[in-house]
Amino acid sequence: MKKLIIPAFTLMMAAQLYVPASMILDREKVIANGEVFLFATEPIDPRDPFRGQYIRLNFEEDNYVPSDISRFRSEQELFVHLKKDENNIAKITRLSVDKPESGVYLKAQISHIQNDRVYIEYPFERFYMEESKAPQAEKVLRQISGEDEQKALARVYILAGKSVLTDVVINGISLREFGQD
Amino acid sequence: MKIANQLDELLQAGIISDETAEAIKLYYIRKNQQQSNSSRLITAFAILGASLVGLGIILIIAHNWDSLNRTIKTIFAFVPLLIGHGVGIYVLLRKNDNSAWREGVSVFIFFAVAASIAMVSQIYNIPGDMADFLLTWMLLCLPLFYLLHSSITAILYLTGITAYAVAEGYFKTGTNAVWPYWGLLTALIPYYLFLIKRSPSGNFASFFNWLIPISIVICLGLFSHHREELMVPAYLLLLTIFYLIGKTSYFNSIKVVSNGYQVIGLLGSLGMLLFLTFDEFWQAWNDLSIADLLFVSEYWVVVIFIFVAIFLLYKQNWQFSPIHWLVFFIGLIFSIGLINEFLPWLIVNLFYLFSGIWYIRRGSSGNHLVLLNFGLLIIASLVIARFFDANLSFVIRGFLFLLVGTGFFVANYQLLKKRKEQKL
Repeated sequence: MKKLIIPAFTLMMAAQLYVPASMILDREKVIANGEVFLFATEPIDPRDPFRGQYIRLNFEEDNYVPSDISRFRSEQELFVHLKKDENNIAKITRLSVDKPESGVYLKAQISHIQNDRVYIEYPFERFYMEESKAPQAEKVLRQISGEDEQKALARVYILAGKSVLTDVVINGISLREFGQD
Repeated sequence: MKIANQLDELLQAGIISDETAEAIKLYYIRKNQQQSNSSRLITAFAILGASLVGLGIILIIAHNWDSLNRTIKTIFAFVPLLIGHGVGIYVLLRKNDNSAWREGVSVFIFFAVAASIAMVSQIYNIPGDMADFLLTWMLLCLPLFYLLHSSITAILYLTGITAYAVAEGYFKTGTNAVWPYWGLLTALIPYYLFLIKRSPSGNFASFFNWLIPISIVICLGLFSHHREELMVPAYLLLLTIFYLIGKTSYFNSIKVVSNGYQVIGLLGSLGMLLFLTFDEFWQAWNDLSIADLLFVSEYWVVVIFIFVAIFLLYKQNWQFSPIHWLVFFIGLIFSIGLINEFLPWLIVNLFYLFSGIWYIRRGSSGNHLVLLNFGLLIIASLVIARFFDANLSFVIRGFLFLLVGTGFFVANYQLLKKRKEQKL
């Protein structure tokens, strides 16, 4: 029995290393091979922008009226089909409940349905930032939300339904650098 | 110490005598003691110093976190885990008999697993699902406390799976019975059994004797799906079962303070009975029909518990105390309750009163002050409860209180007088 302890421990170590490693590899694959989409963010709710060390992002393109509303239910898994407009900003083309065979799509969840409109909960609504930089960044985001020209854009890589949020930029400058003043 | 291993061999070969062998052993024991006092202090300072250096490094990294590229960040995410693993192998090979090292490295790995998953989530802005995170974390750490024999980690594991069950079952919609929790709990049992066999009155065994029933009490409610009212008899049966477990020959021999099953079972079931002496519940119960109750998930829980309770009672040779026989009593009142609203209420009140009287008699005849007062407390709580809902005049209620208060004085006085007489 004692002889088994070391091999068993090695197996456990492998499992414990495998889980974070596979999380990383999964997402690196999306970043390496996926397409970049920019999602326009909405103004942050000033009452509760932060929980812990991340900013909650709200997106403009988070609802859609599908042609067949009866197929959708609250809290259901959803596939969002996207295209890019002239500014590379993501726009929804259609929604589906079944996994598509091809095309650019993103796996998300239905938040709720109201007035025949499906509201989407994206898997990248958290943007982690270092705690000390967060208040400054939040201030900046609130300032620009008033102006139409400038928008905070979330940079998201998408591949075969999987998505990875890598950055939030304003006029090409990362939000992380705004926090540095 | 290595020569000590060879002492037996030398002794048998007749090279050294018994006395010499003893003297050598004593010499080394004394030498170890002298070294250990001063080296323990140095070790403590070394650990303190290393911790401060480690914290300093972490803070510097954290401050510059955003300017690091993703690759470096992911490497840092693995560092605590790799350190933990390295030290873990070292401990398994060289320090396996030292419980401080085993517990220490085990707890370190336990938190390092969580830290690496959390850091990766932060790096890639992955949305958090607390329940899934807890489940993954606990699954990865299940072999940990077995391989390193670490009771502290096992306690952390028990806390973690309870937290998982609560996050998954109570805080998400569309609840299910959270079967993984029960599987994970079962996986802990072999370790628990080994612990109570080895040192039944040890500290860790005592901790588990409390934490396991508490965890089960928290998580039983997860079965509540269609008919929440059925959870009342289910919980009452669970507490009865705990009490019966606490009274089995094995557990009955340890200190009461260590016997979580007995205490939780006794106080819990009496508490629930007191709740049932009010009529509100019986009105709600009477509104149900048998068809509502049969074969729902909670129903099976109740049925299984009834069989377990009867089995335990049988194993204890049908010993008599009010709580022992609660299982039959429960079957009786809840069945009647479906038909008649008043009868169960009356029966529960009488039973509760009877329990109080039973403990008083046990206390006075067995010269046991605690049991006597416990019985008196039961009766007092019944009187107070009826104070709130009985439609009696204040005079009568006041009179009842006087009666009970006097009863306290008289019973205690008599018992103490009897003791004095016996001493003389």
